[in-house]
Amino acid sequence: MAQISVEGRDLVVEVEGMDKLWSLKSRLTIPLAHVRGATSDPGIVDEGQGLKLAGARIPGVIVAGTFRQDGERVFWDVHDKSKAVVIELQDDTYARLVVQVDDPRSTVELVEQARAQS
Amino acid sequence: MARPKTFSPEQVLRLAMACFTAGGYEGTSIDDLVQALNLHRGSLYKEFGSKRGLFLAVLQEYVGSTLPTAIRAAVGGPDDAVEHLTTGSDLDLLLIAAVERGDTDSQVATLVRQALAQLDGVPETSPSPSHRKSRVGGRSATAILGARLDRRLLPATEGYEHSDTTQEEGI
Repeated sequence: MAQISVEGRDLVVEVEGMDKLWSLKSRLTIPLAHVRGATSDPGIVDEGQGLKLAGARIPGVIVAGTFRQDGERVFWDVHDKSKAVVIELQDDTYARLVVQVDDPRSTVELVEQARAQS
Repeated sequence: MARPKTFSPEQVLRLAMACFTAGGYEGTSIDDLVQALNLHRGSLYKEFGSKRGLFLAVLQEYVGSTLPTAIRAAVGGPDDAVEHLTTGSDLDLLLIAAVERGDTDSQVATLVRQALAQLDGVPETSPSPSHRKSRVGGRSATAILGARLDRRLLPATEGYEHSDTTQEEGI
């Protein structure tokens, strides 16, 4: 699980609880200028993650950490795929983040509106 | 293995438009879009950023091309223009955009207003010379959308008529 917030001109992703351990990340700070959008997308989890670079993957239980798929680095932190949100990035370490949030709908609106205003 | 068919950018927008028109904004999942557009999920995100990004691109195509073409076809045709426009699903994406996104997304609201401006003043009957009964002036965009809503409705189901008298008795 992750908490997503906007601080100034940055999007902040706080990885919560034990997921910090599995994903080997506790906090990602991304300039809003690098954020292209957010989408609620449960189906992405079933498509697989590609090669694990760092982190943990137990199918059906947890996907957390950095993975490489189709030549792109993707950060994952998902237990419950129904709450997976995809945040598409550009000019960043990651091509996209796939994170589980408490309320996908409000997170998507938060990110999309922050982008529109940045 | 046969190479999967790839679509041109215009075809991608047209296919996505069909998806959103049939399923609505919320009701259309990325799974639905990936399947219909025959795109890799990663390519879809890379191209449009998000579902909202794709929807905005679709709505821009609709307002800039699809709707004006439909209006020209309706006004230039032999039939009543409003009747023509409200019979098919040409206006349904506009209804969906207005209802689902018009109150939360200012870019959608702006595009919806542009579409409404195009619909304002569509003549009620074709102005072609063969139709002597042509009326001067046109109907407002909201009246045309109202007519489309009415046409989309299924016929009333028997036994579900609302009765005013029962309500009055209860008071």
